[in-house]
Amino acid sequence: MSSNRKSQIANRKSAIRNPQSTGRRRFSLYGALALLLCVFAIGPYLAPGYFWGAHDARHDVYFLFEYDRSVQDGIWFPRWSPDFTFGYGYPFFIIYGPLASFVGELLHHFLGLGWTAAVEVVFALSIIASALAMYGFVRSWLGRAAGLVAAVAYVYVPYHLVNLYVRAALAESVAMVFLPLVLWGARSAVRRPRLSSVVGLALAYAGLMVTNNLVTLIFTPVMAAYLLLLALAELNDDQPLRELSRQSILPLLANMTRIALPVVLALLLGFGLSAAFALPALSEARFVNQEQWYGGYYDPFAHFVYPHQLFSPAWGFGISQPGPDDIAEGALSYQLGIVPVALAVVSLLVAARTRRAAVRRELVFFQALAVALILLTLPISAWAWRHLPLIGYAQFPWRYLMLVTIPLSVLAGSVAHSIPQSAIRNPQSLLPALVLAALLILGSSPYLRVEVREPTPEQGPVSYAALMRFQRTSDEMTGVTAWVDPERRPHWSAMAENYVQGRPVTTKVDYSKVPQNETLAVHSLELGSAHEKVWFHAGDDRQRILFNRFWFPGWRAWLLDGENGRPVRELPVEREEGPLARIVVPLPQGEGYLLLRFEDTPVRRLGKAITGVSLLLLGVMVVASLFSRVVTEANRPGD
Amino acid sequence: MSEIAQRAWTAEGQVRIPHSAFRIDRHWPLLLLFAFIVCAPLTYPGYVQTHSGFLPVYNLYDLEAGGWDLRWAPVVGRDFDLLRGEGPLPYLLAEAPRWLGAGGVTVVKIVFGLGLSLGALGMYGWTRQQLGRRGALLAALVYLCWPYALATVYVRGALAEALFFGLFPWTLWALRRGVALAIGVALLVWTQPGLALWAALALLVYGLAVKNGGQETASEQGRHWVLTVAAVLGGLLLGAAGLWPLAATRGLGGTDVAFSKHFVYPFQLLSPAWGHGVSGPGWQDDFPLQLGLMAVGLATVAVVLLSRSAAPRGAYGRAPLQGSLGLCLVLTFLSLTWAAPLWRLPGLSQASRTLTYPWQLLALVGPFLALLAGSAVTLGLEHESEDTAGLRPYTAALIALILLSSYGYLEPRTTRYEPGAAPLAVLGDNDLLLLDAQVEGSLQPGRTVRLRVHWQPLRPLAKDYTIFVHAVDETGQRWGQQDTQPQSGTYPTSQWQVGEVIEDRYELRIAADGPPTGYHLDLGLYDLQTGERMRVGKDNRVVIGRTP
Repeated sequence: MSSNRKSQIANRKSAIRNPQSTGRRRFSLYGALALLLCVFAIGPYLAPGYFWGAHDARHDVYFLFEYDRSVQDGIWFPRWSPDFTFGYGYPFFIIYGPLASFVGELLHHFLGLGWTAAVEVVFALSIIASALAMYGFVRSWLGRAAGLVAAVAYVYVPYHLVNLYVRAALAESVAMVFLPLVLWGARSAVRRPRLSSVVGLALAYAGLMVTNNLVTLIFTPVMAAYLLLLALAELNDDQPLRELSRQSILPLLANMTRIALPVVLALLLGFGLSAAFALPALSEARFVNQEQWYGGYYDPFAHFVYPHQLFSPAWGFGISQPGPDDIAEGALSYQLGIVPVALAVVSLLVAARTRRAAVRRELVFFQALAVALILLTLPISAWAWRHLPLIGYAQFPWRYLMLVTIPLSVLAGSVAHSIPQSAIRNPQSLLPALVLAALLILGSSPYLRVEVREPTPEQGPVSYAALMRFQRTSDEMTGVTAWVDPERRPHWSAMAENYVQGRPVTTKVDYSKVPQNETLAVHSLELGSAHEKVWFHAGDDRQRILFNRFWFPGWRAWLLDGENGRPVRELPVEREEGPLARIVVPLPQGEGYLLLRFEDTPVRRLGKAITGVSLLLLGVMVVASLFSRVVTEANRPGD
Repeated sequence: MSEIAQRAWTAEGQVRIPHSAFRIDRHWPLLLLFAFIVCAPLTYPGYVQTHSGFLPVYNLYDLEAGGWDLRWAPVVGRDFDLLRGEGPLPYLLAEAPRWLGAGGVTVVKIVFGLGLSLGALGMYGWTRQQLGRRGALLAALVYLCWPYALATVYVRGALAEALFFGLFPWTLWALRRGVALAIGVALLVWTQPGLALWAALALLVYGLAVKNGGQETASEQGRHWVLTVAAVLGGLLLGAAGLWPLAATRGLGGTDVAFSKHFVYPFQLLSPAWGHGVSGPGWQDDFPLQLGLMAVGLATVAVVLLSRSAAPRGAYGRAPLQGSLGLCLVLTFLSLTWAAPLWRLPGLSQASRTLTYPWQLLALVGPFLALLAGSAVTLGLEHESEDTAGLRPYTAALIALILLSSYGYLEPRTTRYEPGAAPLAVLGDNDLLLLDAQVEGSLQPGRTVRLRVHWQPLRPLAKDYTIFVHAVDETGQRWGQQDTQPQSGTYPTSQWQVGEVIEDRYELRIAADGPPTGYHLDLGLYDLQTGERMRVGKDNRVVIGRTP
């Protein structure tokens, strides 16, 4: 390659990679505006009360409630939720990303926020963070004005508001913070492969994973496609693919390795960071009954979006209904938003007229992505839902609208990209971006509302009793393990009855199976979220204790050497041969203390170990980077 | 006029559009995308509940059943009126997708969508030379999102007027092209004859206004004007020739309409109110008659800018805008209550024979208003080049604003009801359709029979009618009956919405001592106060379930 050509490419790359090399001071203004303009979206949460009627509003509170139960026992990374399914418990945080609940717990535990307030603050934080994330991503390649418009579009695009106010989907709302961050990290790792890019992508991907594994699954192909596009473009910039020859194969492979290495490293590190959650989630999800969440009402083929719904201005607070009349039945809206769509259509002109091939390429990618993702929500994609992997994990086709918000926002932002960068320092340059932002907010202003309600007895005030009533009336938070007979799964329990009657539940031993005589006597000494300690007396070695907890890998029983003693011998933990598949612990003859505890399986331990190593690696990389920077600064000539 | 401003216009007053020999104007597909958004409600897997109900579908089937008779007219559920009624063209157009196997409901929706899309494309084509691409795009979008057009499709369900909406801009585009203009006028006549006469008049006036001042000699101007007049008249004649077999058979026909009770109150033109009711006497219509916030707003800006514009006089300069303004004002005025005395004058009095409602003239205002609205951008930015990238966000904002201003109107009432080939009966003076009736249970002595029916009112029913169902034998003797208010008295007929599909069920027991066979059901409505039945068939009853 001639030096002239190399120089041209270098110049072009420099311009592409760093369109904002000037005007760094302006960052705070555009960034601050992106932040400030979130206020209208946060506003509805400031209303007194809580939106109890929203789809998952109760779940959000009780997920946090369950998380806090573990934290009270000193478990900050819980896996077992003791009060699911009327007290039989469920390995909820093995299969469900805990980050949103963790943030809520921080607010509840350290700042003393109430249950509902903590949830609302997490929602508000997710709004701000998602705006800033989208701003950062779009700013990195389309400029500040585009970043501002994209950030506003991302917050106010109707489906995001559906997630926030109608579905009250806390984990998905927090996940929306990480989607642009992952794309930003991916882009940087390919275009500017530095340590910060690698670490950024790793953290963003890990964050997404521990927030919502379902979103991670359906988003990963999108990320892969984007990475592929960027990598091919990068490769083509360095070594035009049209000029390939036999001699250029080796350099091509070297280039491919150079481009792929930071990305692969980042993704491996990201997976490593999230392994403590991700590995068990991937390997142990099969131990819970998933048909509950994919059959019947959850049949995806009954919940396709009809094209008219994408452009219907109607707004509802009900749940998704089969057929095309969701809105008429008061269900949630599937609209794309007329302003984001209008701007996305105009982006066709932007893409056609921009002189920067890299920008055009990426805009076309996002346009195609928008179309593809929208198609996945429509009945026309039924074949893909039947036959293509990963797609079905979305559960409802309209869930892909969450991913559609990304290209829509990017494309909306691209309309402001045409503001000349040379004019970015001019205060007047802010005006078009502000006009577009105002229009985006105006277009969504009728939807900026939550349905604040007084809690019904089934919802609150937040307590064990209300949790049990909620489970009974809604059949939610009633998941069971894979060994429980789905037809005979519990619909109430003695534990739930105790809670509702205001009596404390001090044990989960099934005393109906304990004669309390010289043959078998049991006395529960201590009950925690993931353990129980009991004294027992067994007249012979055929006695056993049945616990009202679902059996699941990780439950272990230990014989203690005293009431507060250490484990001295592990006892077998068996699965009940019955419809409930509860925990059975065969007892040795005699008297003793037994500790039943939910512990880590080898997979969970391996996950934790990988996360630990990854964290260590991350720390080393950051320290090394800082050290290198200090050394460079110190050696700079003239200092 | 500044030098820069002068450069924006050619000597003929056209806006300079940067050209590239093989580049396709990307605004066409862009417009189609916007048209898809506006047409999206039509993709609902059912039908829109409009004032016309299923009449367009039934008339389409009627055309097919009639064997393509040149004397055919869409008169199912309507009285024949050659001028006020619909022409055959929308139904003939609908036959094209029918040949491809589409159902009646689908093809009618296609024609509605075609009307909206064609209108936008025609508007863009017509105004592109006058306003430049940006201005024309906005003009087309204003026309596409024009509330009157959306009400025509989604509230009234007026098939012919929807197509008229699509064809009129194309006719305007063909204004200086003789044969094309004549064909355009003829198509308008075959679509909605009465309105087409007004359109022809507007074309002549507009054609006169846009004579190419300064660029042509007086004789050339005269020749153009004569050509335009000849083309318009030729088009009218061609259209009349197409309708001749029909007129020769049925004459002009006629319907009783209270034309003078439907004038528009001026405030209604600017009211954002949107409803699904029908036009009624007085000012409290639940029917939208607004001109549209964006259309009026931008047109007002255009008028202000026009006074200070650098645009030259001539065919593509000020003249079309001034002509459009004049036509907008005159046509709008004629639809207002203020113009009521004028309509009593000789000439106009006869002209009212061509329209059902005075506000139908607003259909002709649309293109001219949209032209003015689009020109606001062209006039406001005449110092800027067409391709100035810095203006794109503002253009995008205007596009979004135009769409947003009409977004709330893209929510028609819908129904999943599948109509048959024809209604079971038309009751009253085309007041009510009995869409179908299904008998559940056998018509035998001692048995309970259930009847499930679907009604569709075509006009507001002033009275609370009682519905009767009689089980009658061959001799006419009654062996069982039920007389009830609709839906067990919970939904009286006076509250029925025009175009709404109302399901109702009735139940009656046939006396055990009746004859063993030969029963049928008589169904009808009557006024409980007077006992007078709503007119239908020979004996004011619909016969159901008669065994052959």
